[in-house]
Amino acid sequence: MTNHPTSQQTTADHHHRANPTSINTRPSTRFCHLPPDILYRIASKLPPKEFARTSVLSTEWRGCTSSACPRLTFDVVAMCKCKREDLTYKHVWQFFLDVHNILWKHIGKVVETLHVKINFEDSIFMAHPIDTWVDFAASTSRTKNLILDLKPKRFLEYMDTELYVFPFQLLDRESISRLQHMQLSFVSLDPPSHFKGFPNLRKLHLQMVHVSRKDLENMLSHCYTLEWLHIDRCRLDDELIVDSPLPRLTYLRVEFCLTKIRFNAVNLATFEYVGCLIPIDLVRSFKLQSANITFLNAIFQHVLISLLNGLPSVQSLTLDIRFQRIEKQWLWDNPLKFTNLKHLQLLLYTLRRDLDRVLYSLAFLRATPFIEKLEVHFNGCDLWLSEAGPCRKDLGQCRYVHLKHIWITGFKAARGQLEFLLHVIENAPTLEVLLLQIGQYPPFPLGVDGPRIEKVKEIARTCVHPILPQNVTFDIK
Amino acid sequence: MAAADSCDGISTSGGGWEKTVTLVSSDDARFEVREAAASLSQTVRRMIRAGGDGGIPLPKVDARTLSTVLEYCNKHAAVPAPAPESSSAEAAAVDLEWFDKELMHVDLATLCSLIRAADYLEVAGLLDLTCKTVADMIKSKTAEEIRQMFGIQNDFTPEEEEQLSRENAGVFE
Repeated sequence: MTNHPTSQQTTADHHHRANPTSINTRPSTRFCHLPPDILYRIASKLPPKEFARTSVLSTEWRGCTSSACPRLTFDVVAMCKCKREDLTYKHVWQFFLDVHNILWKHIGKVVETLHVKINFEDSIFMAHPIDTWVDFAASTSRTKNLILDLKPKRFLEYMDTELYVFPFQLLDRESISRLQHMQLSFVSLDPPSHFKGFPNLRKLHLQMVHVSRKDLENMLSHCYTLEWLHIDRCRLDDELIVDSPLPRLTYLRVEFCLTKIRFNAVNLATFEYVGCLIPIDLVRSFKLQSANITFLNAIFQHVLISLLNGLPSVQSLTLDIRFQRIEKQWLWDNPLKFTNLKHLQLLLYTLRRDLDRVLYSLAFLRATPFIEKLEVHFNGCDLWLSEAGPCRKDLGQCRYVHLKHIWITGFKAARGQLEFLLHVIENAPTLEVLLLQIGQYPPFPLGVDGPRIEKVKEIARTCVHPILPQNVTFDIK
Repeated sequence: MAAADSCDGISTSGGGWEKTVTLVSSDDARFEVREAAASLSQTVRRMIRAGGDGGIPLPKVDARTLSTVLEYCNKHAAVPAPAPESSSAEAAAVDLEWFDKELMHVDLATLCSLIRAADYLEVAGLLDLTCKTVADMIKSKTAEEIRQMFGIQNDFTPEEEEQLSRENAGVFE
């Protein structure tokens, strides 16, 4: 769309644009008149060393960049210039001294981002310094972004270790309301009973955090401005029900730590989940654009029903079930449908015992009447030319009138795969592109000889060609 | 696309009806814009809420600068929030990146006007983009080159300069 001045000026005047390389020859004195906060904003987009260098340009630049610092990163490994495994207490002690000196130089300055990276096991004999830094960040430096990355390298071995206790007592209302972005790894959260969340927090990443369900629910319910939330392997093992509206939340990712999820986030656009099959209730997120879900150890049909109930509005879904089992069930009587789903990406792992059940994965497709693009990535070394399982004629009618694009990988001409494919082709009247791939996705060596691959290709061509409309682009490789 | 004959503040766009607002630059040029695009400016959004007739006056922005700002707003308001997994969203993001890159092919004076306008109008994305562009110009240049490029006067005494270089040593290692 163009702009419309309704009097005098023309707007589409691009003649003043010059190649940026020509600017060196045309110094502009007008630049000096940019206000200090803008000069600071520009400088803060530079790497730390170059940021510091801008203070030598002029007193004006010095004025605006000496009172603030965009980011201080304290990474024990980087600062001690040695490998993680070679770290000694001496190193850690030196690290604490260096950090102390640097902070001393920054007294009175705004430090927008404070990033601390040290394994808490290294610092466990002195939690006190970290408290001091958080206190410094919160009160003296007016920090907006706080990153405490205290996780050990092989964190799973430390599941029972004591964690750093977040010092709520050091934060007053003002410093709490300044925080916009927090990443806490290997931290324990035990907020005081009167705690009312972080009112201006936009981004929160909790990783291996110890927190009770009640405290987390209470905290999140009061983070009205939250836009981005990632809960990763926290020691919770409980439900998380946040019914207070989080209208700005657009991104949510959960990994491994909950037994049920419910959020009231009307503007949620992206949802990602890795873990066991649990009830997920995002019914109120009716604008959900994409969901990327990995379940471990789940039954295909149970997953389908669970997602239909929890994410009915999702527009693009990627589903990966590791250690999948599948039942001999078509779910004919299932009345639920994905009302907005246009793009489906299924990653199907077939075990030997389920070879005769591949075709039952069509149960999923029957719940997607508006599908436009279908991707099925098969995986399973027993699929090669297997002849087990039912035929498609056992199926009832089902039309996919919007389906235009099919991409199937890991095609090994198993009967289940072939019948699946033929059923979809026969019921997709507007199909435009069909791509069959024998190789797996993600790529993985097939470990079979050439003749077998040729045989699969031949079967595919013989079966597909007679029923494929002429205008459909078809390729097998 | 957008029709200019909209005395009631409604115009047609792509077959649908969309609310529009009129913005008036410092040199009295009037721009008719979709409200969704104009609302990328927090300043304009507040003024729309406050109401008023005869267009929204923007006395700190000239027509040439405003037209570029609106070009940015129109493009960015048309794009829904990104969905990282879908290929169409990916394509849209790439397209947007190209658009931004092209928009930043301007001389330094224009860039500075854009920064001031984005700051005044509170168009966060554009302010970020323009400042980033300037920062990229500064990157890996010597202090003297930067001064020359932007017409900055070195007003330090030699003693001050020496102290500065001492202060900077080591802190950001």
